[in-house]
Amino acid sequence: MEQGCLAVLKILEKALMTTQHCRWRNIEYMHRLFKFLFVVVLTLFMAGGGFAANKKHLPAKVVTDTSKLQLKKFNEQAIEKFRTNKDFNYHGPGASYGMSLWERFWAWIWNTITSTLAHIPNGGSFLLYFFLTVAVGFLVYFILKSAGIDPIGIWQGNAKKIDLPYTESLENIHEINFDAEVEKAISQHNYRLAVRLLYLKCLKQLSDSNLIHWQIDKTNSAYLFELTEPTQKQTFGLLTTQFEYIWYGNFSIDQQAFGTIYSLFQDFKTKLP
Amino acid sequence: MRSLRIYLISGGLLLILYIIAQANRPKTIDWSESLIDKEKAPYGTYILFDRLKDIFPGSAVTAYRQPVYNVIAEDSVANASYLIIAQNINEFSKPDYEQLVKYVEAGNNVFIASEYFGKTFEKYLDIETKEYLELIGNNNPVHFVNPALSPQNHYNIGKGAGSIYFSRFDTLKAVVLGENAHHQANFIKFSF
Repeated sequence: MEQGCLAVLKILEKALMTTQHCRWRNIEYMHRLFKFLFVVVLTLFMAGGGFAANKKHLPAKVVTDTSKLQLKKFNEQAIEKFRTNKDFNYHGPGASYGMSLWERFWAWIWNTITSTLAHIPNGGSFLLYFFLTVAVGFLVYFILKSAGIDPIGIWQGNAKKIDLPYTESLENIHEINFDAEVEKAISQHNYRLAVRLLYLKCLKQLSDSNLIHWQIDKTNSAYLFELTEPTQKQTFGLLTTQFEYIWYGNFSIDQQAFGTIYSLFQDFKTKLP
Repeated sequence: MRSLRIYLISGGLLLILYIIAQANRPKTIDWSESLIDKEKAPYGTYILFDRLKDIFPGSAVTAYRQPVYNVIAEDSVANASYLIIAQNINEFSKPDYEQLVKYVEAGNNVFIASEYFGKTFEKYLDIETKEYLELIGNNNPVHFVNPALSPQNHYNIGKGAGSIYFSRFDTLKAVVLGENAHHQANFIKFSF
């Protein structure tokens, strides 16, 4: 089965013969030069096209070669010498002539990729840089992660962390003494907590006046959705935004800012029935 | 951190195992398409390069690794045959093509063997190659069409190489020299 190389060779051999001796049809004019561009397809997979069913019918009138040839041959003895040379002995493992299903699978994958890319200008380089970027990004992420740094947190610019002696896990708004707790938070200059308490208090008021149906696992937007009166809805929406920025957004607020928000809450209370 | 270390160590061990396994694998035939003139594997071109003078007696053989433009325009090769054997000719530019046509028009011959001819050839010669992949059996022997070259002799070049064919070409300009078992042309000639 050393034909691998030898067969390729044979084809080339014959191709070259043709090159030398075919004649250009309209030979009456021009010099006696015959010039061609020869094109053969030799090798393996990757060419573009689909799997199995991609048969295109060529136009009917295909001109086939019938020109007179003068054969040229490779030196038989030399070829015979190559045949006995073990370097050109393609027996042994991997000598399989056809393509395995695995190889065909990959051929199909690459066919699909190349034919897709052929339709994108500069598709190859775009894809290359895209994957390079992804790979480098992933590497950096992995290194930072394993070094114990939060790679995403770096970009967010954390606000000053404030210790909150407070747990928000289970807050039943019907069991909290809001006025006392808010007072306590303000006296400790813990304005963020105060805002949270005010917000919870606000929820309790809405719940008491049956404007919302309070449940511990509902989201703020769910309550907002339950409100029907437009001005209430708008004000509550504003309060919700303020609260979420301050509490979840880790914004530290000072006394002055708190004052504004506090009056907003008070304002809202007066608007309730 | 502890679990991460376990993953890293086991990953590293697997990688080392894989490398050892690969290194100890029995030497298989290298089917990679190197097409290098010193390569003796099936897709090397050692024999062709070695025996070129059998078919071009008395001629000088020069190997080039430069773009076509540089070979023709700068080295002024004349009265010659130019063999290009490449897996693909993607990097073939318009100046390359113009030089090549000029070179052919001056009476030289060009032979190109490739799977994929790239944008330039597709545009100027209106050709396109595709691979005809079959799910079962992949025997696609090739043969010449010229009656003088015994078209009944089919050459199996293996590894699906015969399955790559010209899915499009200008039938008014091109002459088919060879085709595969499915009568798909895979060897065509243009005259300038």
